[in-house]
Parts: sequence; structure tokens; C-alpha cells
Amino acid sequence: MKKILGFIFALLILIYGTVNTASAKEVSSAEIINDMYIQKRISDIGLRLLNANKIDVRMIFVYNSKNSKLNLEPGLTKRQIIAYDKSIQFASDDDEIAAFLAREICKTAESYTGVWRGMVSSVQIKCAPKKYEIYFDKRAVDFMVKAGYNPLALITYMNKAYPQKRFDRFGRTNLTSKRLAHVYEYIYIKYPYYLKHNEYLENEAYQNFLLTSLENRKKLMEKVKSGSKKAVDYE
Amino acid sequence: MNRLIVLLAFLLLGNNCFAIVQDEVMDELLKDIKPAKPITNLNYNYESFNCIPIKLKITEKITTKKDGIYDNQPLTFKVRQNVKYNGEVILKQGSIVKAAVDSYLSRGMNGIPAAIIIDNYHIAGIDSAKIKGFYKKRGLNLSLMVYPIKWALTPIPGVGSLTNFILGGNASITEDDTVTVYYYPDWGKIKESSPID
Repeated sequence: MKKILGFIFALLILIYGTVNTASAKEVSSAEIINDMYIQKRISDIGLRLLNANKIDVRMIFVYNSKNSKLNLEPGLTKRQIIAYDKSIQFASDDDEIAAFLAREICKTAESYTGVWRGMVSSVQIKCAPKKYEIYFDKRAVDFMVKAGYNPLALITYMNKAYPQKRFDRFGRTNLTSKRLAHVYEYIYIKYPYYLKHNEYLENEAYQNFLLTSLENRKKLMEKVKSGSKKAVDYE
Repeated sequence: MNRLIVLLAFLLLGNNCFAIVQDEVMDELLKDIKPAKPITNLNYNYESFNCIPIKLKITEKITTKKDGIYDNQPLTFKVRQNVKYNGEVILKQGSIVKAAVDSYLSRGMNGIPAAIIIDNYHIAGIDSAKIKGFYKKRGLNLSLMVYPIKWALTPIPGVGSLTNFILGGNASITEDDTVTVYYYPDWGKIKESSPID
């Protein structure tokens, strides 16, 4: 009986080893070099954002080509900003990579503030992301400008990467069109230079933003002309 | 021939003109404005830790209550006490420091507090790149109380959601608050050895 069990056990190990070896994908040198290149680029941009903005808390930037289905927010727990392929694939230049990273940096830096070493802040961000989204977008604009990146890239990046829901009144997140309008207004208020000397005017994503934000931009014009300081209810 | 050239020129230029949707809103709003290029901070060198604290107080109270605050709202601070560097007074008590609201967060459901953020200061005679002064003032944070109650009540259908109506506290900066910014006089000095150059 013992011999039979031993034989079956040995057979199982042999089968497992064979299957495992067969299914293991060989990673080529070109893939490793490509990953290293993207990792370096992401780290360089991320560290420049941290240094230029004097953000004195630690965080790291990790490139991961395997997209995760779980939304675990490692930025809030381990202070590790993960740039998955599904996020980075929308970026077409360094400014747009900076736009993605600046938002995540802001969120991660926020997880350092408040009681219990920022644990409560992290729970709040995780439980009520809608409250913080527009705030992170605006701070991302500040971070990008300080680090020498064009903040309009945040508009083009968001326009390409974030989908548009039907409603947001009872949802956990804001409508992307609303966030875009707030970013646009914020850039107008604080950094009008970039709108006056608009390098993105011929960018397809920016043109699409202009096309899809006519009503919101009209609201902004009315607000500015009336001299009102009240927040506009964008759609 | 001339007509042909004019026609070709029109088609070439016209094609470009019609392809771009102009940002008429900004054209209208910025037509008489010549905005300055924003200041970046790229020539940094954080080797030195020699730092001088500058204590400030706001001249006029700001609060997140009832639209009492907006982005880029100008603020005025006064220096609380003389600031010395190498035995010399570089900032006298009562000197004016200009700043602006960098951003703010209105209060939210489940006890999330409002917050005011100030990060940029303009102090006469001091390079803003050598100042570190991120300041964040929060309102009363009720989340610590609200979330445990919420989670305890969640098994009873619909009851846990009632805590959504508990709002956090408003934030305000008054004359009693001391905003401390740090001046690092030697930051950015050693440019030759800087790895970013």
C-alpha cells in the first residue's frame, strides 16, 4: 500500500514539474530591456516631480506590465505607485506620464498626513474617492508646473484614459467631464500662460476635449465675466 | 497661373485652419492678458540641512464656510518675530508675506473634514525655491467616530448609510494660528556636483 502511495506521489510530482516547465513563459532579453527602459523613465519622471515639489515623504514608482484586476491602492498602503500597462498605454509623451504620476503622488503624499500615521486619511480616500478626485487633479496640476511639465497634458491624458459614466450624483466617483472642466478652470486661474501659449491646441485629444466641453467652457466664461468666485456646477 | 497659385495656397492654408477647433473661450478671456511663465523648481540641491524657521500669522481669517474661499485666493501674512541669519535680521517682525490658497477641500459626508492648503509664499529678498512651507489646516475629523458606528450598524439594512449625513468640520485659518515656513539658505548652491545638471 505504501509503495503504491509513494508511486502515485512521485508520479504527481513528475506531472506537476512537467506541466510547470511547459507552461513557463521564457522572457526574452528584449522584453527585459524594454521593461527596464520604461521603469527608468517612470522613476525619473516620478522622482523629478517629488524633488521639484519638495515632497519630503518616501514613495517608489513601479512599472508593471501585468495589469491587475484588483484595485488594492498600493499607493495608500505601501506608498508604492504602480504604473500598469493599462494606465501608461494612454500616455504619448513625458508630460502625460507626469500627469498620471502627479495624481498618484498627491494621493500617496496624502496618506502620510493625519492621525495614526495617515491611516485614517487613507481610509477616507479609499472610502470616499469622489471627495478627493478633483482635489488630487488640481494638486497634480501644481506638481506638474513646478516640475516643468505642461499641465494641459493632464487634460489630454484624462480625456483619453478615463471613461464617462451616465450619472455621478449618487456614485462613488465624479463624471470625467466634470473633472476635466475643473482642471481646465484651475489652469486658467493659476497658470493661464499655458492656455495663452497652448502647445496642445493641435493635439487630437485636446481638440476632442474642446469639442466635448463646450457647455462647461461657456459656464466658465460666464463665471469669469460676472466676477463670481462661487464654484461652478459643471456637468 | 496666379489664380492657380492662389487657389492652391487657399486650399493648403484653409485645410489647416479648418482642421483646428480654436479655443474661443480662452481667446476671449485672455485676449488682453500677458501671463508670465510660471516658475519651475528644477535647479535644486537639497544637500544642506541648515534651516531657519519663519513664523507667520494671517492678517485676515479665511474659512471654508459658505463659499468663503476659492482657488488662488490671495492671502497676506505677517512675520511673528524677527528672523535672523548669520546674526543679521533678514526679516523684521511685522513684515508682509504674500501667499495664496493653493487648494482646498470642502467638508464631506461620513465626517470627512474640510482642508485648506498653502504651499507658495513670496517673501521679499528670499528665493521661493529655498522655502519649504507646505501647510495644511484641517477641520474637525469625525471619521474616527463615524466609520466604526457605520460598520457596526451595517448588518441592519439601510441603517449604516445614515452616518453619511454626518459632515466633517470646516477648516479655517485665524490670526491665532502660526504658519511656520522653513528657509534653507544653502539649497541649490552647489550646482556643479548636482546629478540633475
